Amino acid sequence: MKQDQEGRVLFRQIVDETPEDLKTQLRFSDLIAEKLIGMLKSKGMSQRDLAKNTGKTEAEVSRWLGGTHNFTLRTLAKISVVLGEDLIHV
Amino acid sequence: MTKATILSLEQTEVAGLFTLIFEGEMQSEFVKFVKKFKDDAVRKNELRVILNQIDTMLVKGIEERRFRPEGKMSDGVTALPVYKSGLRLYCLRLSDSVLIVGNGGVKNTQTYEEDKDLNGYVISLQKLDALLKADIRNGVVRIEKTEIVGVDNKDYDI
Repeated sequence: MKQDQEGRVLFRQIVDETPEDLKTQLRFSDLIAEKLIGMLKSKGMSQRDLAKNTGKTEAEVSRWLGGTHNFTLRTLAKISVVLGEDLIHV
Repeated sequence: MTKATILSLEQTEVAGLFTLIFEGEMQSEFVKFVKKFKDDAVRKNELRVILNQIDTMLVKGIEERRFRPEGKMSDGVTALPVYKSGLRLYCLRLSDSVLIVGNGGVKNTQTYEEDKDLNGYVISLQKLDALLKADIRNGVVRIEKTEIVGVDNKDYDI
């Protein structure tokens, strides 16, 4: 198959030049999303249940699970209370 | 109608990333998208968010949760969004391991249909999706793990 050489170089260049703080933020967002998915599964809760119990829309919960959401402490606290378990540990 | 060819962008053991290029053009749709925003002081970081998200998927797989459905229910067109800004990269998610990225832009309207450019990007991917699905049904094209097999010398009228 033909290669998009220019696309590959641009892609790598922009990823490599991404500031470490942004990369770390995205890594945290994704880890929180993965943890939340696992907790919902283990507690038999749906995204709809979580939305209802946190007073958020299903679209908002979907954004939380997308892997790039910039969670506030308020949101993390709300989710932790609903799940009955801390979502993050410091 | 314009002819388009599928190009390979990146391959890992977990995922294959592809884009498309239109006949007579020098740049793929993905390159056009990146070049629009890479030197834009406001959008640069948002572009980085999207490309780092793709980079993560090349390691973890093309998980559905990372995308926002766009297009129609019947097609596979989806978008990688930066929610607060409205920046969207339109994509075709063919499996948990194969992703075709197209062009995109900033969605300032309620729906993509209201924006001439965004509508064009989505329609191109919708047409490609329909043609690819027909080829897959007919056994001309196969999705094999991270590869799209059978599109090497193929043009799609979209």
